[in-house]
Amino acid sequence: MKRICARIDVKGENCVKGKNYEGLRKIGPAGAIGHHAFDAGFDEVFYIDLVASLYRRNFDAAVVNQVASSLFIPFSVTGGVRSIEDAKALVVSGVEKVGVNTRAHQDPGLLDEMAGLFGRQFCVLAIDAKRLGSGSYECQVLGGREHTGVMVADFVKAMAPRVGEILITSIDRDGCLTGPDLELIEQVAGLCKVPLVYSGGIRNVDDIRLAFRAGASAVAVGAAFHDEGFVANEAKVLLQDEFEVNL
Amino acid sequence: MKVTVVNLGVNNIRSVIGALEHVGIEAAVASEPGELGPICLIPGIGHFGFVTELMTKQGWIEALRSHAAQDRPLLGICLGMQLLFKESVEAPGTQGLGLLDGRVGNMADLPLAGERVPVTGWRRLESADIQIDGRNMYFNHSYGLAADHPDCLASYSYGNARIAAVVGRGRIMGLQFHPEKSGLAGLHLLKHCIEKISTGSIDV
Repeated sequence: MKRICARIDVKGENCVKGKNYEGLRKIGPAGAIGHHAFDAGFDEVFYIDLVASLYRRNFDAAVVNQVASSLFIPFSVTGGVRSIEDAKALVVSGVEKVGVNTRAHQDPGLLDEMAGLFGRQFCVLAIDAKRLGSGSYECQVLGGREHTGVMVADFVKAMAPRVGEILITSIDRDGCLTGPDLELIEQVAGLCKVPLVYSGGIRNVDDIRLAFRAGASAVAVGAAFHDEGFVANEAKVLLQDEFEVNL
Repeated sequence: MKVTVVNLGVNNIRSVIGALEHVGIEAAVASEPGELGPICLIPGIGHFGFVTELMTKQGWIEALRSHAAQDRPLLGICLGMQLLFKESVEAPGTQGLGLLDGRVGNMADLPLAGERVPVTGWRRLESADIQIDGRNMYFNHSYGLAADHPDCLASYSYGNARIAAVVGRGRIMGLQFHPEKSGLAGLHLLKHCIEKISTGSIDV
């Protein structure tokens, strides 16, 4: 079944949202917004700390502990995972999957180590893609603040066999409600055999339909959920003519 | 009713405890084999080889085999289900609990018609048990068993394959999905399965 996930960017214990990863404004308590996502019929929640790696912090443990014992849909955490101990602490806290972004460039072996302890299905490769030109995307790290010089296509080819899922975000569309980058989805979906979650620019059910057709296994909805009252269950009712969804 | 959750120190016990308490089942934690109670639950997440080695070293394998030999209820979730079997292709040469026959296989070896692996997401269950049949549950696994296994009690379709979603024999039961992460339907199913193994045989 295709999934509609909520994307909850966090800073400390709060949910925040920016545009193109900049100008983060506070939305509300991150834990409570996870529960709103459940009420709105989302299939899964992606918690992402955009600045954890930048400041060499870990994801807020209090948020994880609260969410894990009371949110009865899957949630993953991405941001600031730098060691196997960081990953282990998240598992014990109740996290279903852990995403690695910046560290995957610095130390790709960390994902292998995580897979060796917790299984490949536990490891999410999070990629922040910056469009350079037609069909050309660069991986950026540290919450979109630093160039890597590594092309998304090359990184996906090298890393996809070592992880359980790819979460790809279009930095150019993030928070902008300008629709998904279908070219990016098509490119990455064609290069990997693991599930692909797309994030960036999703406004409504029509955008989700296009993202699914382009090859996404799931979409992550951020700004439309926080600001536009997007309800996943309503979208799923409309999508079930073409896709299998969880209703 | 009280369920003892096996705490290996590297698995997800918090979500399962939260789910049990939500449906009115008391949860206890066993952090060493001597603390096992009359009804036990092995929660998920982990690599088969890493976890079985840890369990052997800490005495869990022996303790859980003896638990099962006394016909006491045991529920495994996700990797906890796979641990009920003798072995898994995820870690050739390491031994699981061996309470159910057969070997956990690689999902990628099944006729999936191009579907992606791991299976990550919600699938609809089919079962002769009407409490289980038709419910959507959340799966996240790269390894598993085909539904033609003799102890398969519920299954789901993926590509051209049918995959075991619930296995069980006597008072031993395994769930490949995460009921604690499958919304209200999952919580209901978790309670149903625990009641089922606690009150009698689960053979259909």
